[in-house]
Amino acid sequence: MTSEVTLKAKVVQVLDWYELPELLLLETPSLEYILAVRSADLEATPNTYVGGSMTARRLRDYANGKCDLRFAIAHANLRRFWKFSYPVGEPTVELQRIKRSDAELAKSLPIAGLFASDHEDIDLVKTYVPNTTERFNIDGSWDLGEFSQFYSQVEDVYYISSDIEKFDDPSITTDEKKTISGAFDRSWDGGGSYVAFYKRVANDNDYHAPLRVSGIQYNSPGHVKIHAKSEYFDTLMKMLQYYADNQVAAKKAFYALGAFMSAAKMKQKGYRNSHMTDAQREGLEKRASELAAQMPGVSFDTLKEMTNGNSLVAAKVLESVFRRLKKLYRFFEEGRVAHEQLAVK
Amino acid sequence: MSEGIRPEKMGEVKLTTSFAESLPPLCPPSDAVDQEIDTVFRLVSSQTPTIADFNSKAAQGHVCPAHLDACSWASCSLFKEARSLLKYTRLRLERPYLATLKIPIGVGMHKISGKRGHVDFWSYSGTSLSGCVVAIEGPHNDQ
Repeated sequence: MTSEVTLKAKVVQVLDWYELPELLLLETPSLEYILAVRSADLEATPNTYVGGSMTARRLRDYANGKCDLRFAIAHANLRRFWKFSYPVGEPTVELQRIKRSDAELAKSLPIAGLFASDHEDIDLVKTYVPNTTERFNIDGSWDLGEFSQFYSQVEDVYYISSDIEKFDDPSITTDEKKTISGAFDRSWDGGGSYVAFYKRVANDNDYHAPLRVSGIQYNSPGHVKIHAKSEYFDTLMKMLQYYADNQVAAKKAFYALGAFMSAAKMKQKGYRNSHMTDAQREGLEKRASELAAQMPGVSFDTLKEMTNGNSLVAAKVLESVFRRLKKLYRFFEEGRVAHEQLAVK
Repeated sequence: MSEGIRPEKMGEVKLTTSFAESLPPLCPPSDAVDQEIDTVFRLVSSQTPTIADFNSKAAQGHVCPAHLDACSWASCSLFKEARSLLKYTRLRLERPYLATLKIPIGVGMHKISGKRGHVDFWSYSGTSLSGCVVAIEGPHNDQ
């Protein structure tokens, strides 16, 4: 049974082929992905396909062997299932929405156990997989919670610097910019806003620049190994090294910004960007830019653009990044963590 | 389309090889070889596969789309690994038997590509892949 909903999609890759393509990957203009197999209805033409929608994250999970093809299609995102005709080689197809209960879909699902490793690699996912493995050597005494605290600081700084770098990339689309800016859209009145913000930033980056723990050895000396995108990991390490080399100046810029904001009551609950006078704004932006100058890879102007011109939120986020950087460096300074790219001072 | 004839250089002697099917110019490609293939698979429609079960897509009457490789289109597709193909329901219904082939030198030329080990096979005239079948498994069309 079909409804009236139709959608155009690009055929991104033929993942498996016998005499005809058996498994297709499609992409819609809204970056929704669809895995589709040939219809098992022998009355239908051999180039009829049925499939299900998935997010980039689900597609990557499938590519990483977290589920088989049957599961990936049967548990389509938002229960969006499709049927279409694909004359071999056509660059686009027109999809017709079908229901989960559609008998043709039910009988066309592949048998359980067909994994991404059984067909051609998904090029789209290959582009985004982490491309470096980094090892932090661990020593000394650790409470269990400190491990997660350490990793969480790494994660927050890594993801926000990835966001900033991406936002500055001239090839970024308006939609991608909107997604990044969307993370800043919150009250910023309390600690919960920061936690939610970094969680959202991590989530937004999960596809483009995922960070993953690949191994932990708790006993001392031990290690934490992570998979990351090298360009963003390098930025993180440069920020740490710069902080190590310029701690006094960096802390001075940080306290100057904090003091200015506190004096102007900018940190009080309910204070908004629109409450600032021009002179206050100028003072805030000057001090924020001075702090950003202490963090390679972080630009206050970019942060401001990311917040759609909200200097107050941009300054608060900047402060929060610095706080995380400071806490993270502390682990190295204490001698409990070491990385080959960082010379502790 | 040529008549499926391709000059081959073998040592100092130039031979002319003719193929079972009509092939486009410069087909098979220069990196195709005539070597023994120990184990290779093809999904077939019956327990006693005939010559027709090993026809290329071109010989089956399917027109090659303009942007696809006409030489590959004129080959018989075999696979070094084919068991996971049986998970595709439509394919299993159309071709419920899995044929295992052992192909000696002199049957044709081939080129292997892709993760699954897709083999493009161009048979010489007077030979047939159906004679290379060593085992048949199936049917796999039970739902």
